[in-house]
Amino acid sequence: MNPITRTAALALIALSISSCASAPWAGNADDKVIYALGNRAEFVSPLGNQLTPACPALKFAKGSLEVSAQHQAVLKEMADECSGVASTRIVVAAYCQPGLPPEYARVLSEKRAHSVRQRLVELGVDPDHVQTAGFGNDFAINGPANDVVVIYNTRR
Amino acid sequence: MFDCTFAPTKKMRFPVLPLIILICLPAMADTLALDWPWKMLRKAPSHVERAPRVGIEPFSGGTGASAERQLREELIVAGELLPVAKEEDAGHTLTAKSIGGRVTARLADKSGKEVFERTYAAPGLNENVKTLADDLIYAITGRPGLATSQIAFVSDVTGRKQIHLCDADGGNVQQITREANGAVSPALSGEASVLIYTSYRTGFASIQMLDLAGGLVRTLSEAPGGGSGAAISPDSERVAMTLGFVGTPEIFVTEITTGSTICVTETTGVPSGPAWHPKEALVMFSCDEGSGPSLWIATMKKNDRAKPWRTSHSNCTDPEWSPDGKRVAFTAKSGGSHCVVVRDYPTGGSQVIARGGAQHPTWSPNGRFLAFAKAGMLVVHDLKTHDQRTLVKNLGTITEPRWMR
Repeated sequence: MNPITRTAALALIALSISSCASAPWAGNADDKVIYALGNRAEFVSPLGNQLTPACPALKFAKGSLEVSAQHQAVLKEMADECSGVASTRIVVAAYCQPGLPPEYARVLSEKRAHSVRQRLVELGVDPDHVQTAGFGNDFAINGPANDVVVIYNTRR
Repeated sequence: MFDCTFAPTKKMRFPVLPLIILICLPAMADTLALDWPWKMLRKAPSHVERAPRVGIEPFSGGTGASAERQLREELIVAGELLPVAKEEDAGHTLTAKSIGGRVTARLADKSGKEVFERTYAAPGLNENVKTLADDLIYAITGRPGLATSQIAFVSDVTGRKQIHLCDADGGNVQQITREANGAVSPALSGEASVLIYTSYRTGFASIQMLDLAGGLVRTLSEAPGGGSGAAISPDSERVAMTLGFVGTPEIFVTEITTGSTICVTETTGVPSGPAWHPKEALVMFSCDEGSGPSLWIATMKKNDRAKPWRTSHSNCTDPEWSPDGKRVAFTAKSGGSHCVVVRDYPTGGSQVIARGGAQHPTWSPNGRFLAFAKAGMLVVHDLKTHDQRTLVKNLGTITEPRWMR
């Protein structure tokens, strides 16, 4: 084979392989570690308990699942405060707007709570110290009625 | 005997006698076990006129007349059979007696061969007649009747969301749960013997299983990370639900007796509202990967990935397969508000059944009706006649209806 053709063919193969790595079907290349939830026994729910939010509520845009850059600063501050504190017990509670189908709203809010928890853990909070609760729009009458995530820190 | 002599006087200017007879007729009919006045006053709708005919002999026994009248009414409402007099041409004939609320009935085909003979001995006449009506429909058409079927739904009429049950005609509404922080997302097993729902009793979501006959409650999942959207498999042996204990929500299937659990999805989004195929080991669910929810199908096979099911609608949630597995009803969005759509499965056309915020469709066991929540009410749509009527209203805001399967 002509050296120029061979070089071109090799370059094409190399280019194909490198582009495959970022293709959507190639899976999550960095294999992000998802932190499973631990025992919930020592955590207090905001339902039926007068808990004070540990920081301003995080508002989520319509349909958004992930933590935004705006949330980052709040979560960093929260993580700095809680990292290494053994008595920390954080409950990440998420709520959705009333108009959404109830079951979808429950899982959407749970997903958002998980995203916030994941980011807190990545910022240094012990995964065993954070629990989630996705309330969807089940408590719109008494609780927050918008697409928000509220973080409570109920130290032991 | 009933004496109905009446002597008119000259002072009377109105035809009082016919008027009195007209008023008294329904009551007299019951007392005298007459059949024709009832038929005259309550004509069967046209679609029932075309249904298979069942000849009904006059019921004997003290509560026979009431039982017969109620049975005819149940059959007309169900629309699957046309009750006629014995002498009319009918494919089957029913002979029955009712004493003290018990009903004993024998169904025979045209040749006189017995199809069944049963005694219904529940405490109330009403319940016995409803069960007989469903047995007749099933024996003659092969489809389940609706007289004994029930619909579970969520209502916030008490100030908290709680599960309620009602009959297929919207009557006999009962509050079933009284959970401290509410209960949502109901699912009823066949024969409405088990109710599975999401409870907030501990302040966090857990999935509970209530034996409706005995009242016993068993926790199916109290795993951290949320749990909701339970759907009972057609054989009532497994439950599909969304659980989040792995750190992200996924659809899991649990065997009720052993507790053995497998994960059937691997998403990066919001998988919710699983529904079982009536005959195959398939679970349809809604998943939002960030661009709005759409419908997906997962198999129970190892290493099989869920596949999307294209609907040509956006924001699709709450799927439910029809009892024959040939159609799927789901919630979608149209013109800025939610609507209920029915689409042929696996391929075919789709039809918007109800607009204006209609949500969470659920099939009747015979596949003829769809119930859904609309404007806080429980509404039912007849897919044969396209009639829509409100089953339950003025009970707070009603959401998430689920018909017994």
